[in-house]
Amino acid sequence: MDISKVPENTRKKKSRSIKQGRKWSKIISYLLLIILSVVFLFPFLWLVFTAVKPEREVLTFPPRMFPSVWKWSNYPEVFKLIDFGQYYLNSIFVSLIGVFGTVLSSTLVAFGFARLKGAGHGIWFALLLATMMLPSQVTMIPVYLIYSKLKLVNTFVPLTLGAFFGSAYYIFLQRQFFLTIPKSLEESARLDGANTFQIFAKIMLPLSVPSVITVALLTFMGFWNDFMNPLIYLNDQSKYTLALGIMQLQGSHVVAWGPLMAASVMVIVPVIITFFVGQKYFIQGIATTGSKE
Amino acid sequence: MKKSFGLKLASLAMLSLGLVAALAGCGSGSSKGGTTEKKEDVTLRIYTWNQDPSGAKREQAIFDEFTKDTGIKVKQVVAPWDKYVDKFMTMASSNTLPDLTWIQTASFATIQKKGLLMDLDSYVKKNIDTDKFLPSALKIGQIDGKQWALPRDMSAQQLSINTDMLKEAGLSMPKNDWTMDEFLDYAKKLTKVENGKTTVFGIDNFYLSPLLLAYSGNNITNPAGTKITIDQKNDVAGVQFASDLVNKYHVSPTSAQAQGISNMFVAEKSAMAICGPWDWQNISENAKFNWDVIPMPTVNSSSVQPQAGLPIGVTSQTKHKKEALQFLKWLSAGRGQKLQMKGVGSVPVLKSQVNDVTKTEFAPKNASSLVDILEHSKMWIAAAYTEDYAEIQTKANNEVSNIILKNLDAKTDLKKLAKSLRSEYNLK
Repeated sequence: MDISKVPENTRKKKSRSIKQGRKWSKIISYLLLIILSVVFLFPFLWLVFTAVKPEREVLTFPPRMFPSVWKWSNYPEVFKLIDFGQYYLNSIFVSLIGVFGTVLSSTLVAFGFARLKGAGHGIWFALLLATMMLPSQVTMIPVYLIYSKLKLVNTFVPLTLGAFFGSAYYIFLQRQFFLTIPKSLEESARLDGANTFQIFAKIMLPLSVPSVITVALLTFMGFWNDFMNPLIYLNDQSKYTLALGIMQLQGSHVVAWGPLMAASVMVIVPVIITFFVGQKYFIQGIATTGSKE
Repeated sequence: MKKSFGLKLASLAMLSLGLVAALAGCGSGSSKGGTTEKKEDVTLRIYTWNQDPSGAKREQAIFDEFTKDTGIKVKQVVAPWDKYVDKFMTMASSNTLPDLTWIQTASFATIQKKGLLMDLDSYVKKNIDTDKFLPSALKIGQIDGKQWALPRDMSAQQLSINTDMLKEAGLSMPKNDWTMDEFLDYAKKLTKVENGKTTVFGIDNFYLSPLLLAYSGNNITNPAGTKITIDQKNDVAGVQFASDLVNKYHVSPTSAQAQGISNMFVAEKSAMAICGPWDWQNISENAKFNWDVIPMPTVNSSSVQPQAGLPIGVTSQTKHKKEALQFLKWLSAGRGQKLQMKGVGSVPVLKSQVNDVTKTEFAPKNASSLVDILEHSKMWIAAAYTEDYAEIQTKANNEVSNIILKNLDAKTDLKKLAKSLRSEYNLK
């Protein structure tokens, strides 16, 4: 149909109704997003408010969202009950070493799988992916025995050393990202006289910032929230990480709900900050690791 | 391109690996189980869990007193209650178990059968005056009549009761030797219904074990764990009573009515609840009402009081047997008893000290009734020390919950349950 033959007012009506349709679809989208945000934020807000409730109000029925008395002392109480500061430092230390080790090893190995074609290249990669199918519970005892024989139990080594030997999931993620980088860049660098390691360090890595940050973020969260490894490897309370340390607030007979919630708020703050800082790269990293040149 | 970048990266990697190696160095000196080489400088390790948030610190203060008495250092290895056995088994696999261990009763038989505990029988006979202990105390640490652990404390489950609600209902405090019929009468009178909705229940969830003990003196099995008893006449009556409290008399909540409240008693949603001395501090600090304790009601002459206690064992992997036994004796039969009562409110296992529990900070008025039970009543810890018992208990608890939830006929259902348990675990 020739649009010029449509009367002016009909066209205006149509464009108005399209605009209105868009407006309504936006309103509905935002409304849905707001409702979903509230649903997802509710447990977090409950945690934040419970962290400042007196103990008896945690148990009150019917439950109340806001405390009648704001008990800020739950926060200092955490430091009195457990060595929270020490656990915080331990967690930061373990997480940073873990992130560094994972990023370093995973990017190196991923580069190899993405760009270097050696004998049995495909088989090795399949074998690597197969290790993802192995539940950690299966290897827990044998790995524990190795660290025990090496007299490394009750040190941070069992928690961090594995990070320097790569992780199948992160290697896969990183490899997929490397595959999206045009080979022509690599060839140009080679013509300029760059060797393989220089291509990795000067070309591939700087171009892979989103995926590197994605790996770093996911690793950080993994190390920060890890409970099982500190549980089995650490014996001295002074070496506990946060995930294990705050469990002390949950006794077999008595639970200090207020301080436990306050400690939980303090534990998740770095995770939230890290996620917000790296959010842009994180989404970019995840979104682009599926595409290929 | 500059070649130095690759070198820098490689150096950084070496540096971080070096750092990890250095960490190993700084950790291993004092760690690896804390077993030290010098004879005169023994450090014992004891495996514990946190009973309350500041529990580990207070326990350590008690252990430090042992160091003052003997010069032997004591270090705690603390694990969360629900991961306690996992860590224990992992340490056992690498021969790095601590010298002593608190024992969860559900896993006692398992760790003993695996040979992870030292046999204390001859040590106890030679070195400990067993007459000093309360009548049932030593049984907490016995399997098949042999001593594998010594009790650190002993207590009994009782009922906590909201005395303000009692007054409001015009009721007096029940007598210590009250019966199950009297209990039911109280529970009915204390239940409040407003506009067809129950606002206060007479009793929070009445656990299966104390009910079975009251009705038959058994639990799901006999004390030896060799015979399934839950389908016997008195046990069936006990389970039927549990169901009737919810479905017939409406004095106890269904799980839906409990609405996930962790402590209905403190929240003033139930007038009575099962409690032990370990709850006294929590109730005292958080309840906005007056309260007291009363022994479990009895049904007949077979009734047995539900016992609780904490066994401590010496592990078979200890390298300091003599010192570990010395510490165990100190904790169970020595100065540790008084210090543990003062420091963490544990009830002493020694006849000479048990009365002191009535003078502790959070003791309710009728705390003496607890002492009376510990001194004179027939008691059982309500868990047979067999490897399968924890599993049997879980299955039975699930089935009983089902009976209560669906208001099923207890007799028919328990017969089926008992039959399947007998064939699965090869029991009588």
